[in-house]
Amino acid sequence: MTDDESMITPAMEAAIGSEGEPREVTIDKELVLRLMRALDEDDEELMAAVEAGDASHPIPTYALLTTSTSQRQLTVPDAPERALMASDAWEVKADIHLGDQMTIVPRLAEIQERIGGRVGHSLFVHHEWVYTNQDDVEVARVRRTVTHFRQRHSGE
Amino acid sequence: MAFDYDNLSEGTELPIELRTPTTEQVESFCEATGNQGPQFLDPAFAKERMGLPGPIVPGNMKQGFLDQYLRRHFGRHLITRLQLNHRRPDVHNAEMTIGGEITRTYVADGRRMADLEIHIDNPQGDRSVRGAATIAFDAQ
Repeated sequence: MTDDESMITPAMEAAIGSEGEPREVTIDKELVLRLMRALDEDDEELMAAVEAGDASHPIPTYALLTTSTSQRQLTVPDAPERALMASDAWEVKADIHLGDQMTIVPRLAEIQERIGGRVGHSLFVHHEWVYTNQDDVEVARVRRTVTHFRQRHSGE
Repeated sequence: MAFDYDNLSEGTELPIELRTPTTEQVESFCEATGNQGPQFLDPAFAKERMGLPGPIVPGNMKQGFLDQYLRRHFGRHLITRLQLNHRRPDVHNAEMTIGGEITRTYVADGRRMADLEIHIDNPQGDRSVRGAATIAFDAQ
């Protein structure tokens, strides 16, 4: 394949807009605590509430990161193996609490390509996940763009 | 001290904050989130396979730092949007400079809102993350 040929294959095009199986996940106190410690959380009131398992206390949006393994990224057919996160966006619509039962629905939203830049000719794959809680309230919408590239990163 | 909506206007700068994520912290973060990507943990993979200067700090860990940064300055007001563009990788044990500035204050659906520009700079002064956020203050 020459560099001016499109990296977007018919299989990729067919995958755009596809949704994956919903995943159920619980916002787990122990994982949230581990994450808070890894981030050196210094909000003492929040730490105390989480340590006590207080399910009425709103917790930071970053608690959603504990569901990363269930926030499965849909496989993009034919995409180069080398990949780095290019952008991430959280749109938050409601509070999050310990013990919330979330349903996560993944979607492959869009694929674009770019020529040039630090990684050369590359694909920008836009993933999206919608989080809905046990009361059927949409809590958050997470969008992530991942760059897939063939050549080594420039290191800069 | 948390900012109040009434004290904000376009151009209000948030205090600078310094964070230096250590290798141990990155390992703890990866364990807590189940994100075991070798580019975050394996120096040989990061350098030889990816061409990176060394193992890097996960993008969503930086998102966590920015979430904390905003909560420090806006208390428990809801962060309704946090959007980051990862422009450069950040390596372990390197100081990050986090900052932000108000770009707009307004009322929408009866709620007082503020938009911000937020960023992370690496020790060389290059912007590694450029982002935007929206804070929803309590209903009027």
